[in-house]
Amino acid sequence: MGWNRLSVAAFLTIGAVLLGLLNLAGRLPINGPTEPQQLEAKFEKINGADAVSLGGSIGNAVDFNAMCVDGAPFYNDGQDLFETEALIELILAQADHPDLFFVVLGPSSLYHDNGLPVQGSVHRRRAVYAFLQGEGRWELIEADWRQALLAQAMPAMGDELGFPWRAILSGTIGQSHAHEPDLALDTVGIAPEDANSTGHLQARQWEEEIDATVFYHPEVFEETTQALLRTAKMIDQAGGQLIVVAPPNIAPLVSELRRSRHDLIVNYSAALTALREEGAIVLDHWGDAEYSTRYELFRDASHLNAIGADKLSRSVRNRLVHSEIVEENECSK
Amino acid sequence: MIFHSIDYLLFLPVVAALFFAVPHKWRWLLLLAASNIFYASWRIEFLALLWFTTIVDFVAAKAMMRAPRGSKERRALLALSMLCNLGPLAFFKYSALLAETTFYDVRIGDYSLADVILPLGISFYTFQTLGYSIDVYRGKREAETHLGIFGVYVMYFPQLLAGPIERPYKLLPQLRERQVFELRRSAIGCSLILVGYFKKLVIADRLALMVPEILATPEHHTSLTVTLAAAGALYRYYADLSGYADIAIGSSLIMGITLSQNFRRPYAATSIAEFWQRWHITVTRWFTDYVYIPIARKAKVWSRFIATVLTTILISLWHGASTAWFTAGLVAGLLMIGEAAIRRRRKSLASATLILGRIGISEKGAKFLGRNANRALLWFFLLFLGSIVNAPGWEETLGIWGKIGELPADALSFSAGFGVFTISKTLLVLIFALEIYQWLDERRPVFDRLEAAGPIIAWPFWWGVVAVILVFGVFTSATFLYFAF
Repeated sequence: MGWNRLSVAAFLTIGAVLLGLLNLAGRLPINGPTEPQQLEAKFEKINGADAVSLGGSIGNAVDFNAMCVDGAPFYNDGQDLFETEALIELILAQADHPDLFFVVLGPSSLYHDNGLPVQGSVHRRRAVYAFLQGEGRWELIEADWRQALLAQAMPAMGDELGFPWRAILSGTIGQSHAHEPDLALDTVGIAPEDANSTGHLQARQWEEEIDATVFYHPEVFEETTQALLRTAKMIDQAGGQLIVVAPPNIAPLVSELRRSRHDLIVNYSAALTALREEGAIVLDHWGDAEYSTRYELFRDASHLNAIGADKLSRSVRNRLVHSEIVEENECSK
Repeated sequence: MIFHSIDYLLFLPVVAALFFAVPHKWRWLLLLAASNIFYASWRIEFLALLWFTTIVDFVAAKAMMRAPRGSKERRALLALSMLCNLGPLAFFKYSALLAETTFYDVRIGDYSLADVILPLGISFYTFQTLGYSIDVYRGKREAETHLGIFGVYVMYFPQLLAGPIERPYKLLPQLRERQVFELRRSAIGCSLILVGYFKKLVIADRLALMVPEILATPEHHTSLTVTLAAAGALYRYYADLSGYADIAIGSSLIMGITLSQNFRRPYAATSIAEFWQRWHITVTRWFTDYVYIPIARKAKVWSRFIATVLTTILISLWHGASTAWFTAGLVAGLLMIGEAAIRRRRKSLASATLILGRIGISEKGAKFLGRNANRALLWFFLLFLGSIVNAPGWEETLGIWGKIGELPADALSFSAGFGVFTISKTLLVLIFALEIYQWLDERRPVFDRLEAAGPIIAWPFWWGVVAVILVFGVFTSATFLYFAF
C-alpha cells in the first residue's frame, strides 16, 4: 500500500462516510425516541401551561396532578443548573410561557456540571444541546464548546449509539428484556432495615462525585449558585415566579452528610438563602422529619416515590395557596 | 489535558503540524510551550512545581560537572536534587496515606493531610529527572547545557503525565535531532493511538463500570462471576495503563520521536520475574537500575533478597499509596524469592519432563504444557495479589479469596455458583479480539501485515476499529488510573 496524498484522501473520505453513517444512526429513533426527541416532546406541552418543573431526576418530587396545577414536567435525569438556566431562557422566549417555574434542587445539584466527563453525564449535556440547537438556539452553556460541537458532529456515542441497535437485534432474535412497569417501581418504598446502608451508599457516591467535580472545576458551587440567581432574575423580569423545591432525603443520608460534609450543607443553605433574597419562593424539605424517616415514601435515598411525591406536592400546594401564588379550587379540597 | 478528550484530538494535530512547520532551531520552544499548555490546562498552579524540579535538576547537574568525582560537593548536589525531587513527591503522594494511617487529626486551619491534591504526573517526572541527576552524578552522561531542551525532556507532553519514563540517553538526542515528516510513520503513530483508545475506552472503562461493584460485594455473586471480576480488574489495569502508553507513544511517533515500550503482553508471562520484565517496563527498569542493582551488588548473602523485596515494595507503593499496595509489594517480593529458589532446582524440572515423556508426551508438548502451567500459576498469584489492591477493604479481599476458592468445587459439581455470571459476553469477545491482535503484533506488527494485505483489507480494518470504539466505548470517564499514581 503506497502512502501518498491521493491514498490519504481516499482513506479519509471512506472515514468521513463511515462517521456520517454513525452520525445518522445516532439520530434515528430506533428503539423509541432519542433523548433530544424526548425533550422536544416534553417541550411541546409547556406552551399554554401554567407551570413547569425543571431539575434533575429529583424533579419527580413535583407532581402537578396532586398539586392541582396545570403544569408540564420538563426535568430530566442529570439536568444540571446551567442547563436549567438555558432551558428556562428558551421557555421564556415562547409567547405563551408558564408563570410558575418549579426548580427542584438537592444539595448535590450545586455540584453538578455535565460539561465534565467525570460525572459520567456528558451525554446529557449533549442531548440538551441537540434539543436547543434544534430549536435554533446556538448559545454555549457555561462556555462548554465541546459538547456543543459533538451534539452535531456525533450526537450519540457508546451506549447511546450502540444500545438501541443492540436492543433491536436482540428483539429480533427473541432476547428482548421485559421492562418493569414504571408505576410498580414508583410505589415501592425502602425497607427500614436497608435505610442505613442505602443512605450511607448514596452519601459515599455523592462525596466521590463532588470531590471529582471540584477537582476539575473548583468554582462549581459558586457558578451554579450564580446560574440560579440569574435564572431567578430572568423569571422575575418576565413576570413569572421561581419556586425552588428542596425535596426530602432519607434520615440516614441527611445525618451522614451533616456529619461528613458540613461544607456541602452550609453551601446549600447559603444558596437557598440567596435565592430567597432574589425573590424566589423556597420550600425547603431537605431534612424535613415529616418525610425523612417515612421510608415507604422513598424510591431510593434521595428520590421520593409516587406516593411521597403526591404527599409533598399537596403540601407545596397548601403553601402556595397560603401565599396566594395559586388559587384554591375544587380539585385541591 | 486528557488524551481521550476533544481538546487533545484538536491539540495534537495542531502541535504536530506546527512542529514540522517551524524551523528546527525553534522546535524545542514549540514543544516546551505546547507541553506547558498541555499541563496548565489541568491546573496552572502545579506548573510552578514542575519548573522548580526542572530548574533544580538542570542547575545541580551542571554544577556536578564542575565538581570532582567522588567529592563531597558532588554528593551534596545529588542530595539536593534528591531532596527537591523526593520531598514534594513524598508530601503530595503520601500525605493521604499518612492521614489514613498515622496523622489522623493533623490540620492546618480548614485543611488536613487528606485534602492534599496529587499533582498529575509527579511520580513520572520526578523519577525521570532523578534518574538524570543520578546518571550525571555517576558520570554516565554529561549534563545538558540547554535549559530549554532539558525542559522539553522533563515536560514533553506525550509522556509528561504518565510516562513512559525516559532515560536521558534515549530522549535528549532525539530532541536535538532534525525530524522530517514521514506519512507512513505518522500512520503507524495514528494506528497506535487508535489501539490505545480501544484499550482505554472499550475495554478498561467498560470493565470499570462492572468490576468494582462485584468486587465490593463478592458475597452477592457466584464464584465464577467473582473470579472473572477479579481477572477483569487485573485486565482493566493493563488496558488502562497500556492504553495510555500506546496513545503517548503514537502521539510522539507522529513527530518522529520514539518513546520506549512500556508493556509487552505481561499476562502472557510464565513467571513473576518475567511478568515484571513485561509490565511497566520503564518503571521496572528504573527501580532495577537505581534501587535493586546498587543493593544487590553488595557481597552480603542477604543483600539480593533485601533488594528484591525492597524493590517490589517500592514499585508497589509507587503504583498506589496505601497499606494494601504495600502488602501486595511485600508478598510479591517474597513470592519472587520463592520462585527463584524453585527455578534453581533444575533437577526436579528435568524429572517432570522425564515423567511426561514416559506417558507419551513429546519434549515439545511437555514444554508447551509447562509454559501454560506456569502461566496458570502466575494468574493464580496475580488474582491473589490483585484482590488485595482491587478490593475496597480487607473484608472484601477475604470474600473474593473465598469465592475464588469455591470455584473448583462449583465447577466440578456444576452447581449454581458456577453457572451464572454477569460479565458482559460482548466484552469478553472484545478482550479476546485484543489478545489476538497483540499476539499477532508481537510476532509481526499488525500495521505491516495490513499494509502488505492492501487497502481493501487495511482500510476497513482501521475504520472498523474506529466504529467499534464509537459504538462500544465508554465516553464518560475523565481519568486514567495513572493519574492516581
